[in-house]
Amino acid sequence: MPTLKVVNITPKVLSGTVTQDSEPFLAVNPETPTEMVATAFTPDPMDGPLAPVYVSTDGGDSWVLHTVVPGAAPGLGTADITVAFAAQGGALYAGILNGLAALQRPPITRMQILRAPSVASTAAMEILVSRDEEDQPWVIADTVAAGGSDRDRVYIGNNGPGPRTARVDLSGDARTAPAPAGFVSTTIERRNPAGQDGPPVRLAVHPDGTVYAAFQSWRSNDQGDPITNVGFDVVVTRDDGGGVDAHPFQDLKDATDSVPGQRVATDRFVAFNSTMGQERLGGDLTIAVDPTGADRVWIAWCDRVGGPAGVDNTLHVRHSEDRGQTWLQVRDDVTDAKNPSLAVNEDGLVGLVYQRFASNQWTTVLEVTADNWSTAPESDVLHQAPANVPRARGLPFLGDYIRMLAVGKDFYGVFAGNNTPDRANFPVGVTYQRNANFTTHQLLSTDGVTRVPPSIDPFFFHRAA
Amino acid sequence: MTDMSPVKHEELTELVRRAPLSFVGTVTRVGGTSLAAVPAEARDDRTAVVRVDQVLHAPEAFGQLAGSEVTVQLSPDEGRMAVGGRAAFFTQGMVYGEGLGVTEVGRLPAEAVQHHVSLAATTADEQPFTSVQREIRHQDLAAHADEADAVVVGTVAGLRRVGRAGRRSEHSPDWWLASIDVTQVESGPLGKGTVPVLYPNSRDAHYYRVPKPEAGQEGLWLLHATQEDQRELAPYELVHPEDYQPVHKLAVLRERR
Repeated sequence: MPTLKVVNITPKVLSGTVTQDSEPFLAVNPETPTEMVATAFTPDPMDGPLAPVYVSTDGGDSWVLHTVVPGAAPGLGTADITVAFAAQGGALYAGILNGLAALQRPPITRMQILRAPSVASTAAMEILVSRDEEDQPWVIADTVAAGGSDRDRVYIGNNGPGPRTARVDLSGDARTAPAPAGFVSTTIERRNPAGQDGPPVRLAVHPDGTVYAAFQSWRSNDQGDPITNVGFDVVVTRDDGGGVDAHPFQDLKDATDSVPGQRVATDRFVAFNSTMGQERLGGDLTIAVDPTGADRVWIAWCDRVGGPAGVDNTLHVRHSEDRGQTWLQVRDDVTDAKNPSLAVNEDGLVGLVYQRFASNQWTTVLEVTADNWSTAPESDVLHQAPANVPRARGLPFLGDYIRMLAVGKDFYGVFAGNNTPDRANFPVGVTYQRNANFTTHQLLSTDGVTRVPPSIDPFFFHRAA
Repeated sequence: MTDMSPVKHEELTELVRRAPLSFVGTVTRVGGTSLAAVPAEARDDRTAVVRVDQVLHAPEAFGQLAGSEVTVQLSPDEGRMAVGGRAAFFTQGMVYGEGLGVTEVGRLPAEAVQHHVSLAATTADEQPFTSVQREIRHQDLAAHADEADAVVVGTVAGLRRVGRAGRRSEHSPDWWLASIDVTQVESGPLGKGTVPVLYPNSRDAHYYRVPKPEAGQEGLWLLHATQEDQRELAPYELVHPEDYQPVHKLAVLRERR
C-alpha cells in the first residue's frame, strides 16, 4: 500500500515567522532521493543579502534554511524561483528573478540562472546567466552521456522580450562549464501572438532525449493595464534530440497549419490578473511525459469557460499517445481550480495535484490514476483551509504555480497554504516542525508560549509506493 | 579586568545596524554544536553554543529566543570565549533549522549593555535596544528624505488608473495617479496646490510594499522625480515602502535634517 505524508517545512527555529511563503517549488535528487531542495517567496529571516532555500537530507522529514540565493531584497527575498537537480552528479540549478532588481527604478524582471555543486553547499549560488525583461523562469534538468563523460542538460522555460515571448534557455553541458555555461536562448513560439505569450513555459524531458515545451500563445488581449481579457491557444512543442540540435523545438508541427507547435486547445479565455480566494489567476499550465515511453504525454491548464462574463477558472486535462500530435480529454474538468502539476512515475501512474477554491476554502488535492481516469482515481485531500485566512500580503497568495515530480515509483511535491494547525485541515495527516498546538489550533513562537497568527507556509508531500 | 563602562551611543548604533540579532548570552560549549544544520567544515574552536539570557534586539520571529541555545560562529576579530563566559553578542543569521546558527559580527561585555537592559524594564519598549532601532529608523528616514526630490504634506484628493500599453506579466505595475493637495512643502521645487503622483497599484510581490494612496488620506509624502518615459504622466512618483509617513513624522525629519 502506498503511504502519504505531509510536512510543514518551516523550520522549528522560525516558529515565530508570519511571512507569506508562497509559490513553492521542489527539486529531488534522483541519485539520492532523500536529498531535496524546496523554494518559496521566503525572505531571509534576518533580511540578509542572500535568499534562502529549504533543504532536507532525510527524505523530507526535517528541513533547514540555507541562505544561498543572490539578490535578496529586504522583506521579499528573491522573486520567482524554481530549482532542479540533474539526473546524476548532484548539481543544483535554479532559475530566479532577482529580488533586488525587482525593486530598482524602474523595476526590472531580471532572470538569473544559478548553479550550486550540491545540496550541501552553503555558499552563494553561482550566477551563470543574467538577463533583463524576462519572467517566470522554470527549470528542469537531465544528465546524458557524451564523449565519455556525463553532461547536465538544463532547460529554463521563460517569458522573454516579445512579441514571441515563449522561450527556452538550454545548456547541454551546464555542470562544470564556466559562466554562461553554454546557455542558449531559443524562441519556441513560431506564430504571431497578440503582443506576447502568457507567462508560463513548462517543460518535460524524457531520458531518450525527447523534450516537450508547453506555452500559452496569446491570440488576443485587451491591451489594458493591467490586462484582463486574454484569448489564447495551448501549444506544445517538441524536440527529439534534447534540444541541442540546429533547429530546437521544431519536431512537432501542427496538424492544421504545419507550424512547429501543436495547438492542443484553441480560442481559450482567461481573465488575467483576476482573483479567486485572494489569489490571482491567469497562467496555469503543466506538462508531464511518461518515463517508460516518450510518446505518452499529459498536459493540464486552466481557463475561464464562461468567457468574459464568466467567473470560473476551470482545469482541463488532456493526453496524447502520439508524441503530442493528437490530444484527448481524459479527465472531467474541475471548476474553480488552479496550480495544476502533473507527474508520471516509472510504473506509468499519472499524478495530478491541484488547488481548488470552493465554499471559501482552498483545497489541495492529489490524484493518482493507473488508467487515465477511466475509473475513479486514488484521490486524497492534502490540505483544506479557509481561503480568507490570513489576509493576503501582496500577490501571489498561494503561488502562480506549485510543483510535483516523480522519482522512480514515488511522487514528491510542494504546495502553499494557510498554516492553521488543525487536524481537520489535513485529512491524511501532517507533521509540523514549527511550534504548534493542534488542540487549540494555535501557532506558537520559539518559546512555545507566545501566540503567532496564521500565515502561508510551504508544505511538502510524498507519496511513497 | 572587566570593562564595566557603558558602550558609546555611536558604537552601539553601528553594531545594531550591522547585526539584525543581539543578545546577552552565556557560553555552554566551545568547539562544536549539536545543531546538525551547521556544516561540519564550519565547526572549529570558534564554534560556541550560547544560552540566550536576554534578547537585546531581534527580528519579530526571533523575539522569544530567551532561554534557548544558539550556535555562534565567533568572529575572528573578537577574543575566544570559555564555557561560562558571558557577553552581549551581535550576530547575523547563518543557518535555520531545529535551532539557530549565527555568525558573530561584534561583541560587548555584558555589563556594557546593562544600562539599556535596566532602562528597558522601565519603559514600554519591547526590547532593550528598541530605542536604538527607533533611532536608526529615524536616521534612515532622514537619509531617504534627503534622496527624495520633494517632501510634502498633503491630502489625497483623487485617484485614477493611468493604463499604459506594453508588455504585460503578473509583475506589471498597474500605474495609477494620485492627486495630492499639497498644504506644506518641506523640500523640493513645487508650491502648494495639487500635484499628480504616479504609483504602482499592483499588489504583486514586486510592488505591494510601495504605498497605495487612499482617497482623503493625509500624509507626509516623499516624492521621487519620474523617469523620462513616465514624465509625461506626472512629475513625481512613489517607489519605496517609506515614501508615505504619517504627518507627525515631519517633526522627526526636521530634528534630523
